[in-house]
Amino acid sequence: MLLEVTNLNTYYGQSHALQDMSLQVAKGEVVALLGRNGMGKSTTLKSIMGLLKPRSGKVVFEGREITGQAPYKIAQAGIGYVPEERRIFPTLSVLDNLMMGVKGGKIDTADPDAWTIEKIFDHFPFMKERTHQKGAHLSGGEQQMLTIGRTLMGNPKLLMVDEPTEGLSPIMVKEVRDVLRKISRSGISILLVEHNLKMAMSVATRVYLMAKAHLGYTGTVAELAANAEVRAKYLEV
Amino acid sequence: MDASVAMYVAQGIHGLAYGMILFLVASGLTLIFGMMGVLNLAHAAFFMLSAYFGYQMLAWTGSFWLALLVAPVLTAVFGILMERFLLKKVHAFGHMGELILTVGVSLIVLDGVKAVWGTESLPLKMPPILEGLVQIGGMQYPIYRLFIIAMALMLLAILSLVLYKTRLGMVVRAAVSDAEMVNALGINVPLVFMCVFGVGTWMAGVAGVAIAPILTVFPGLADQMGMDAFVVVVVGGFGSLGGAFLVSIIGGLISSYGVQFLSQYAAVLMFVFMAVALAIKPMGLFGERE
Amino acid sequence: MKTMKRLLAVTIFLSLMGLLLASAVPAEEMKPKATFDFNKFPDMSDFDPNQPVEPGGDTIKIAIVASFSGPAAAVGEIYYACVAWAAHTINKQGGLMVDGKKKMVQVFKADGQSKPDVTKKVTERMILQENVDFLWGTNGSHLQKVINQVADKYKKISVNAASLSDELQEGQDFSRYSFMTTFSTEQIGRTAAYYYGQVRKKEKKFYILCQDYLFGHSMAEAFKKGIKEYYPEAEIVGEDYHKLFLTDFAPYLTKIKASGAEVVYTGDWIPDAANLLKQARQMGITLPFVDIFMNEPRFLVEVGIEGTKGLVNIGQYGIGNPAFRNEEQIKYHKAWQNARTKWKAPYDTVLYTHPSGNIGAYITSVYWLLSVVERAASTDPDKIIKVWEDDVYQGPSGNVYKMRACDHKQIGLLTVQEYVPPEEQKQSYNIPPYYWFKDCSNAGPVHEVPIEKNLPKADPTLCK
Repeated sequence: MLLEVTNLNTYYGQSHALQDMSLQVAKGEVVALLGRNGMGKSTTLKSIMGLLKPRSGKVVFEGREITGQAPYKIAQAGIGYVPEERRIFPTLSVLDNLMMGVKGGKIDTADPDAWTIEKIFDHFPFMKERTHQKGAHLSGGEQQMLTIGRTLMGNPKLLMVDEPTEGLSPIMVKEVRDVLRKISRSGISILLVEHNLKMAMSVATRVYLMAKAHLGYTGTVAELAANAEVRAKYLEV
Repeated sequence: MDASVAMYVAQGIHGLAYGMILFLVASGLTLIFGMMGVLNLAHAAFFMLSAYFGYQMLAWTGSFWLALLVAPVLTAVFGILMERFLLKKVHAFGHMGELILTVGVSLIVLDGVKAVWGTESLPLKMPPILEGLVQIGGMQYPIYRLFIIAMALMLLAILSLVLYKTRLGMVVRAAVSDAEMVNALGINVPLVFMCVFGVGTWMAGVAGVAIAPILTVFPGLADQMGMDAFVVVVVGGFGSLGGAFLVSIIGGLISSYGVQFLSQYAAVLMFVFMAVALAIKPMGLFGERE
Repeated sequence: MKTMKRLLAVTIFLSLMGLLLASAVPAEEMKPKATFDFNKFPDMSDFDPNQPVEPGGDTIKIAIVASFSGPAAAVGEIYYACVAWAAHTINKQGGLMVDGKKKMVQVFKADGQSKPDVTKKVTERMILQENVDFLWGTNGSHLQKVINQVADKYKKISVNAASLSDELQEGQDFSRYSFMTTFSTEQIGRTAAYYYGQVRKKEKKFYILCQDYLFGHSMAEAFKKGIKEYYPEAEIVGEDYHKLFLTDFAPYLTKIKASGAEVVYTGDWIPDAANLLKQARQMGITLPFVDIFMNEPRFLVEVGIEGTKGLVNIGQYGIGNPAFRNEEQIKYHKAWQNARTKWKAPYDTVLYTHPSGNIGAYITSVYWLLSVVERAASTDPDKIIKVWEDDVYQGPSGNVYKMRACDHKQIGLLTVQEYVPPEEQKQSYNIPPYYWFKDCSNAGPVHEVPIEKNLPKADPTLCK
């Protein structure tokens, strides 16, 4: 098991934002974390990433416990985080944004699987013409691609992506979906938080559904597709 | 050069010299606030502390250059210690907690210098090679003030080089925008914070030793400079080195030309400038961050 | 006919004699009612401001209300050494007979922290809890004003030995319980003008640079008033007021240089005074300053002999040259210097070399107070006031001071000291080693300005 999260509890002040949350991601999987707004999906990712410190519970990655460690240590261990709101560096150029993702500053030229600038350009051709443009000048969709590319440059084993299609046009949503598929095929496991059910189900194989800070349902995509009652309970407005 | 032109040129150089000192102090302050969100009210106290260290080094070794070299480094160590052992603990309590802590540290530093060195004004003599005047187009100007301008420009050049041409600089610039994201990308942000804190404090320390021969070293050194540096940071934009530089120079020139032409209002001019600038650009001239 | 001629001759002769007599008697009656008694001056070799001997029992209590902490803490430090020295002088003599008992003098420190609200609190505490008899203070007229007000409220005597503002003893602020034992701003300005216009008669162009608050403006006004009176041909080529604790004087100095000024008049105190002089000399500006506070030895030594040459300092302690006119004065001076050899920090600096200048003035003010106490044989405020009003006292420097009854301001000789290199200071410091300081310029020629030429400003509502 690549990632094992067991009974995670996180608080925002007094508010119990995550209650006994558990999930798993096996190597090579694409797993979706779904639910209505405010149910705790982002909180789960942040708690795994160390951006929020869980009060109790365990996060084990590749057999090693990483619960509540500093985010940079968790990133160095091999988890890549693509945040909600994209959060590209607005004053840095596209190229510099990408280089910021490279761990230790040096791209590993020896490893053929390692992500390089050329590989990123293959996946996201628009960046070739924009290498020196400041991040702030990109469109929403382009920024989304950039933030994914930036995290990829760190050669993560597990990619955690938070709401990548938020505010994007249907064309861009399709592009994101294709990119995620390509990434999965390259061997990287993915934990995807999404509220676009259709898109999530077209890339993931398993799903976790959250309701009010805790886990409500888990199953395969096929099982969820067949279960209208569950979908209505946890997903529809 | 005719006499009144010489006078205006002299006032211009005065403004630049003071502006440079101001920049050295404000640069650290703005980077620290921009990147870490810490309003470091102890910064001016470190500026003063460095002047005292400089005085002591000079008293022990007789070498101004040694004082200029060592005192800021010593001060930077103090700054780093404060960041590492005090600020980190208070981080959970937000900006208010950090503010109160830095105020506390500045009070301790103030009492500390008085306890160790007393309350009188202490002299820090400039090296003989920098004493005296130099002829510039028929006008005489103190060499030492020109040295200050040159040194500050050199530091600015080095700083810019590091900031814009090295990876460390890029990391710092990214962290000014979003330190948490930099952390999530696998970069040891606490270490970067420590470096920036150290370098920022070091710059203030250099300013402290540099200005001491013109003034005296006394416990009130921090007050005036602290106020002016704060204005520079607010108006230049938190986190903007370029903004700090521009506003420092403008501030220096306003203060010297203000004395020349509008001397009754000289004290107020800086604040007028601040009010006008902020009315036009509330985030500061180059502000990136709230 | 012969008788008529004789009568005329006698009349003329008598008139001339009368005129002569009239001009010989000063407008102010300055015959001392009490003098500092050198014969009773005790062995002071055991005096150490760091280790004062506190008398016990029933004592005459003097509280120094000043800054003992904060940026101005050095001020309190100096005051303490002076007041304690004077107290020790009396205590070593066995104290004073007061209200039927022999009482020693006890000195308290009350830290006002340079803040009016704190000053008020500590003054009240001194009066109400410590039951002090006298309050003794401080520079910073906004602080002294508070002390005077509190003292007046509780009917205690307050001695202002260091705040020069005329306003403190004028109008609504006047209190019969407050006594000013220092020279005042208008005196100083007029003295400066008198010296340049009537004594030196050389430079004509003056630049005024003062601190931008009440005191600085008062100093400037006093000088301008004096110029009108005593030196109308002079020209004020510039007038500027700078903020307190200014870091960079260069812009002002550039203006001064360009103005063609020959002398700069300033009332600045440390650290502004020090920074002003230092930066002027660093910029190659060698103009003389006429001042009251550019006499602090530490920074004078830092600026050096050349840079301090030509400074003109106005003081209230000495009486002109030479400084030592008899054996007793020499003995007194040496007593301080001998005791000082044992003092440790902060009292071991060059600042405390001589018991003259500002230090001398503070000490004399306490000697005067205690002389009044002795003659009143009481600490009762009304008795004190009765003795002190119109009192004339001669201090150890030989200078004679009068306490003007209508407004409790001090009348006394002011001196104008021209600073010269050490080898020329002998005319003033006429005992070995024949200089005041070997590392800076200091008093050489000293001019006395007649008392009538610079009487303290009189508020017409108080002094008719």
